[in-house]
Amino acid sequence: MVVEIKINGIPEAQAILKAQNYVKLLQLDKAIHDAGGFLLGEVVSSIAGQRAETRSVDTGRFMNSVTTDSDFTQNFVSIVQSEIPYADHLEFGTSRMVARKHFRNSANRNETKILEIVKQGIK
Amino acid sequence: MVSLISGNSVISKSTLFVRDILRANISDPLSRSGSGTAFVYSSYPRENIIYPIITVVDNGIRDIRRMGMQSESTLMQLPFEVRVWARNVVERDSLSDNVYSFFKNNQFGTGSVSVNVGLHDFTCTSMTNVDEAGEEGIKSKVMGYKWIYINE
Repeated sequence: MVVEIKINGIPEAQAILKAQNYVKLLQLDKAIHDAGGFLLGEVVSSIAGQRAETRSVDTGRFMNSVTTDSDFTQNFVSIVQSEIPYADHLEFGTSRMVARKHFRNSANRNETKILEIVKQGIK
Repeated sequence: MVSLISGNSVISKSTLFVRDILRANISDPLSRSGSGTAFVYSSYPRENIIYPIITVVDNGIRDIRRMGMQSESTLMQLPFEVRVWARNVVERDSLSDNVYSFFKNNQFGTGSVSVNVGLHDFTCTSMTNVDEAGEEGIKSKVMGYKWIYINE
């Protein structure tokens, strides 16, 4: 005796699942970039003296140099950075200047909020 | 010398513990007296600084997980910033090598300094060079190290 179990529509179901998964991945990527945008705002606020750290604005070059990748070229990664030469000196301090920690403190302070943004983005 | 980290003093003692094991195990290139007290600090010294020096500061100690709903124990993350301040790049990198190798190679077994006191899961999270301009500029490397600690 042979029992054959045949389920119809498997290719269609697979296509639907794949499409749904693809949409979820797009949502996740967008959510991560949204979180990066949020962190960018927090770092800029910190540099401007609106958070606990010392204000680091003289000409505004440092504050205006903080960027995040908005072109979605890197999947599932959002980088908040400054590429000006003295950014490391302000962030980590030097032998003559105390560290300002705008980036690290902003990331530590907002870790829960960043996770929340990502969770909301993929609901 | 801090030789033990307990749950009630994890915030105050863990930085001193890391400082003290570096004092005891990293060779001072200038062979200064004082068993490393003029070489490894838990904050940036205010005066009479003679380089090279190493500074150790904590960097956002926090709970990352409860150890059960009916438990007061927590899993803590202990991140530290160990910074080597040196007179030149060679000295900076050589001392940084010594620090990293010491932590990496003394986690378990004979000579263990971290797991024996409850510091688990050693990770180097970052290394960033911060060099001041000019020949006389201080060359430093900021190293992020992280351990997990179960606070019972």
